[in-house]
Amino acid sequence: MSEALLDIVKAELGHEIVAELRTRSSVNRDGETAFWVDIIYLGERGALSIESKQRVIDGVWSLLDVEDVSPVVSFISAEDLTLEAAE
Amino acid sequence: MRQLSDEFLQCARRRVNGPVAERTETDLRRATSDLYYALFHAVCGSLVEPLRTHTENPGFKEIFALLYRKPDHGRLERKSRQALGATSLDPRFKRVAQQICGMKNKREDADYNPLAKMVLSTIASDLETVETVLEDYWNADAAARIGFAIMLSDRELR
Repeated sequence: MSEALLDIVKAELGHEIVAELRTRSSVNRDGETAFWVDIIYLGERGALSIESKQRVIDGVWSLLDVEDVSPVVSFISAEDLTLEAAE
Repeated sequence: MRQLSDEFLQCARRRVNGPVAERTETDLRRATSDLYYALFHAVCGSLVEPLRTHTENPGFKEIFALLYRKPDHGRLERKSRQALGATSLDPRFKRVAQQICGMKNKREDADYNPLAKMVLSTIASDLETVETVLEDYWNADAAARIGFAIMLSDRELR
């Protein structure tokens, strides 16, 4: 699953910009299962276009069984994680 | 009928784009919550769009409030996922449904998980996306928009 997700993300955003993909599941207060996809990208905040982000979201939704799971996609600049680690 | 939704977006913008030195963890959590509620109130507002006339009649107010409050958070999430399966769904509504599912879960994390890490780039990205999908939502045909809101709020539709 993670490899297929990574392929979709890299195909849409470009291999060189995707640093890492983190996934996890959780159950929310309404008993619904969420599948979190955190996409860590290289470059500054705002480096990704709205169109490319939408294509990634569409790709993630198409890969998951959304009858039972809510995909939750986040785009995280590696710059933020570097700053966080430095604090 | 989009006033509350627009105001939640404005709040998120202020919190995300405010002076860096003054921005707090709470601002990022509240901005995430604001974005979900902008989507939630967009659906609520669409439900009452057919009742455009304003009146002081207590019966009218009761019906207005009943309709506006019909969406339930858990049901909204489930119906949003189901709506994606509808082959004829306008892509603009599909994106709203995707964002409802995503932002609802992010909002719960922001509001209830003390260990959640709020990252500015994520929230700024969510702000840009929600602004765009809601702008497209309000620009869609009103009858189709109302039909979509009813679909997400209907208790019986499975």
